[in-house]
Amino acid sequence: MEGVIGYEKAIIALAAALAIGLSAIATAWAQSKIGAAGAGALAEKPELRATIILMIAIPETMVILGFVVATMILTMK
Amino acid sequence: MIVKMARVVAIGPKEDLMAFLALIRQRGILHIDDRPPDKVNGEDIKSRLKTLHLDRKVLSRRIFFEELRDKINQLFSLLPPTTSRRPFLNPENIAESLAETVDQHLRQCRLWRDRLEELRRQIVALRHFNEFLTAIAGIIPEGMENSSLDHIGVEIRDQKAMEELERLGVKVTGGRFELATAMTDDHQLVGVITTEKEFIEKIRAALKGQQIHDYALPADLQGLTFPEQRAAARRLLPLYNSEQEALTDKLTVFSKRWRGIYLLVLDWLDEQLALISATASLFETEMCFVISGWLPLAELTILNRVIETEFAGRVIVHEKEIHEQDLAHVPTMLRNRGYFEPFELLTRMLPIPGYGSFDMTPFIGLFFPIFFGMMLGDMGYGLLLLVAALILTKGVRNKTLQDVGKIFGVAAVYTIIFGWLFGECFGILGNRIFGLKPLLLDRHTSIMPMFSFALAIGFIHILVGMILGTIISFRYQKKQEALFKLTSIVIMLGLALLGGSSFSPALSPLQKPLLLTLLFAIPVVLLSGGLLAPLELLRHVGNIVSYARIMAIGLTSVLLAQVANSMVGIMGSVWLGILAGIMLHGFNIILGIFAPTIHALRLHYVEFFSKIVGDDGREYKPLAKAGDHTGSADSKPL
Repeated sequence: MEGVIGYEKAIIALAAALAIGLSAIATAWAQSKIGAAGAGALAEKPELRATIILMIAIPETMVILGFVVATMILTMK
Repeated sequence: MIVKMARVVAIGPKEDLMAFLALIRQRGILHIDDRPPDKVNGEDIKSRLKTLHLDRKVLSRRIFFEELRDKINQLFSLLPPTTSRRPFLNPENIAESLAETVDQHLRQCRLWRDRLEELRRQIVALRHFNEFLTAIAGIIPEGMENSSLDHIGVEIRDQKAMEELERLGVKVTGGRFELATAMTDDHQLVGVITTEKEFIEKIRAALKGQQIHDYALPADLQGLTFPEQRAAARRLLPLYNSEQEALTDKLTVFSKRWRGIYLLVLDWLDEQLALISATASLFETEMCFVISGWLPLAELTILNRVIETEFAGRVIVHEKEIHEQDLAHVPTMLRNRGYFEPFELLTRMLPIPGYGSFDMTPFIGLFFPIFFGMMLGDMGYGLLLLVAALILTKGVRNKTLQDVGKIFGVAAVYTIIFGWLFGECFGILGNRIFGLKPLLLDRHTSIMPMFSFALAIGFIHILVGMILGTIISFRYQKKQEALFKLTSIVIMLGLALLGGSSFSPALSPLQKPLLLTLLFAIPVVLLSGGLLAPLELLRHVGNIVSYARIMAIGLTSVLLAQVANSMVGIMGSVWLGILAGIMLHGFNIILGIFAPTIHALRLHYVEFFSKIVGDDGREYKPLAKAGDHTGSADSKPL
């Protein structure tokens, strides 16, 4: 019985880890692309800095939602 | 707020045009419109108007001004930066005579600059060669100048270059050469190849092919022996240096003497050219000039009074009614006072809103600090941030930094308030030391309630945005768009109440009416918004879910603070633990300022503003002296 509970806990932990981990990778990948393009754009037009900072922040929605899902997986009974 | 504007048409005799332009440029209040006015005092004048053409005299003056300005700018590019007093002269009187002297000054300064550049190159080459000569002084055989032998100096970068050099020597001379090496003061390995004169050029050609650099002999040292070259280099270097200093002094003296005069004329030229280029958007009749433009309504009476005084009724300014079709052309000027003024800094990061739209500054001023406070929510961090904000506000002269200080000052107050509601002071340290208890929520344990709270805030914020967007659509007479937005609001409210009714029994009687409302609203949305309307509704839902970041960022802040506190116990030594704790709290504060700022702004710019602001805004840019206009400056007193 203890083995089953342990197995269930491990699956829940793995699911939560996947929810946050995969979304973090996706965010990092998107931010790397936007960041590189943004740095190029900044060299040409420094006045775009605010827009670029915001564009870099946009993909963070993915990891934040991943975090929310992971939290829900861990906390919901 | 968006400043109320007046549309005006100024009419006067053509001979007063430049004087009138100079006056409005000095006042810096009239935004010139390039659309011709159709009617003035009910009279149709559009058919009699044509674009203003400059006469031959003005055109030739424009060319003269542009040429003189270019020459002065060229002269400034040759002069060293110096400070000089501006003379009390009338620039108009001296412009003609300066146009004659500027060519002579340009020629002279160019000569000095060219000679300085040449000297700089010679000094660098001589120094470099002198280092080489000093290094090889001990390895050159004596009395070689009268023999059939000659030599080449080379830079040797590494062992591979050395081997390559020896291989080349053998290949070109058949082994009839000698390679001696020495180290310069800069630890650069240099070598001298000594061989018969007939092989010298062949070796040089072979070296070029192998990317091995030989020491180029400066022009002044050509034909001299090694000892003579050394002596000449030592003799020439101080001569070149002193000539360089003398020329630099000459340029500095010249700059101090003339820069002020040229600057005075340059400013005057800029002003004249700005006035002439402003005429491109003006109109004329046979006898008169006609200027159409916009200015803040409050300035109109003052302008009329000034014009009456200056032109004694020759120039008149008519106010025209602003029609709905004009709304898209009205320039927008933002002006906020008191609490909201610093928040304009955040609004100006985005394109300016349209005249019929809303100034977003008050909304940012209200919501940004709340979101920031909700995310950071720690009394300790809030107090530290407040101190930093006060230092910025009181201790710095830069207006932008002062505004940043004021914004973070307000955000810090909200951080303290939410810290008190969440019962946090440097994480749970407040609880341990002062017995601080959460009054609203314990963010550490109440994750789901905090999530719901964040979504509720998001729903209200988005709903406010949607209502404002609907009002704007009505203002611009976009009836279909307004209907779509209004119905979207109904659906969003209906969905929210329907969701709430499944949790709260008090709302359950509303379920049927709500379902019926949705049943009627959905076809209306589809008809007014088209087939993509459901996607738009889905976007609103996504926007609301995005507010979950308020909870997520807040939770990371709590957890980081907790880690910082637990360091004290883990490190073994109390002092080491306290040090680690302080460092981690410091890191958390920096992160705690950066992340909530970015995310609170993002919630406004992406989620909230997208419901309201279009890209149809035109910035109010009056004809003004450079640096006079800031877009939200107070009008100048008369």
